[in-house]
Amino acid sequence: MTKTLTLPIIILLAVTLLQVFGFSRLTLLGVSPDAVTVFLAFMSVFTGQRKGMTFGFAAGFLAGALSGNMGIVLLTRTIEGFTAGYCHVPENSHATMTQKSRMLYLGVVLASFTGNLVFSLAKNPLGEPLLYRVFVSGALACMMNLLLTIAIYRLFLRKTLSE
Amino acid sequence: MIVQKFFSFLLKHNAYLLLLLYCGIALLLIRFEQDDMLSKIRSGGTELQASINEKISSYGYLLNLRGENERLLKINAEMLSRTLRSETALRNEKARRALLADSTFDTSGYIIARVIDRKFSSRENMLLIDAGKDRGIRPDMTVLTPHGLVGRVVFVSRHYAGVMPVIHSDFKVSVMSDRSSALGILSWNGGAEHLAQIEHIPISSPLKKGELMLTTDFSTFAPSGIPVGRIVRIKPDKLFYDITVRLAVDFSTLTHVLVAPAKKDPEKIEMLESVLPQDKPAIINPVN
Repeated sequence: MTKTLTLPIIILLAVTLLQVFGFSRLTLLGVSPDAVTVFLAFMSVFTGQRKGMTFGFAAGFLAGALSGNMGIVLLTRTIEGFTAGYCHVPENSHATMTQKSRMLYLGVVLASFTGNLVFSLAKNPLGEPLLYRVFVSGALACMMNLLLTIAIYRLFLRKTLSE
Repeated sequence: MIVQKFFSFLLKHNAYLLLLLYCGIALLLIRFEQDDMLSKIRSGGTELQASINEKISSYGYLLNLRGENERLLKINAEMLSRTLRSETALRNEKARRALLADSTFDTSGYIIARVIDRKFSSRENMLLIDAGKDRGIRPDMTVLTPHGLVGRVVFVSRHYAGVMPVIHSDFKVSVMSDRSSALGILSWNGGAEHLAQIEHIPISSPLKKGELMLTTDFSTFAPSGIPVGRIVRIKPDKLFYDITVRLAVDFSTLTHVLVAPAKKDPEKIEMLESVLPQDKPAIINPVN
């Protein structure tokens, strides 16, 4: 149990720090790609909703402590993990690689959109209209995270998942 | 039987129950955000984030040292010219009397700080500066440059401070025109980073395009007379003008700031808080 959790926890720490100090600076129209969302979606899709949600909670705690918005980040990350869990692929499902990757992409899009929605409803630091934040920023966030997932999938995950 | 049913219900819906538990904790943290314990965690997090950011930005800083020196020389020249102008103004008896009458503003002890991080996204809009409690920074201190108002200190750790910039949707400050002394409230409603809006100036005011807007004595945090911006568009509405201001500070090139000493007027803040209803304290804080 401890052994199986150690690696994801280390990855979670690394991804959260990478997000806070790296990806959050790459903004396009106020939106930046979110590596934590991609990681949470991956965890939820391949290990289940509860684990994804718990990782979301932990990521939210860490990122929230660093950014100063602990409560709202915690809530957003937990819900991201929960929604991505609807695309869960069980270990014994005999799903093909294409099916697995499709579920991962769908999980990322779902998590990105709901995460953006929750954050938009709770905070509006740039004073943008709500509909713009929900739909335009939401669509942009989904697109960016999807591109990031495709890149990560092609570079690292394809081999890992096939094993 | 009931106990068995209860446990089977728990097992069946445990993902939802876990979600409820996590969301409950998150909502509690949102509710008690200003709590001492959470403030300490936030302060520690800010300290860590700022120190890492400082290390990252110091590499870029070293690479741009030449340009940085030129920029600082320019700022020095501007500050010198400003000081000379202030001295001339001080010779004017009326100005001197007005300055002396303002016992709430201590003009000494401006603190120079470097902007070590800037987040401008739909999730965060905050500046981090490398001056904290150790150098006398306190919440609600005014942050400015020789060009004009930058924002307000909102949270402080030992070595760093977070600044809410003028271009934050929650930021509001009382402003007045340098020529006509018309008073209004400046806020930023999103959109362009260099433009802000002024509300509550009646159309009877003799306001013109190009007028400089300054902070006023009405503010609970900012000293009066700090330039905020120049009017670039003025359109009369039903009762009030619809005014757009080009901000005096260029936030895209902001690297150094000055932090003004806090206004020592707790009596005024206390009085404002006691006059307004207790359930709407948010009205006092933003409209500063």
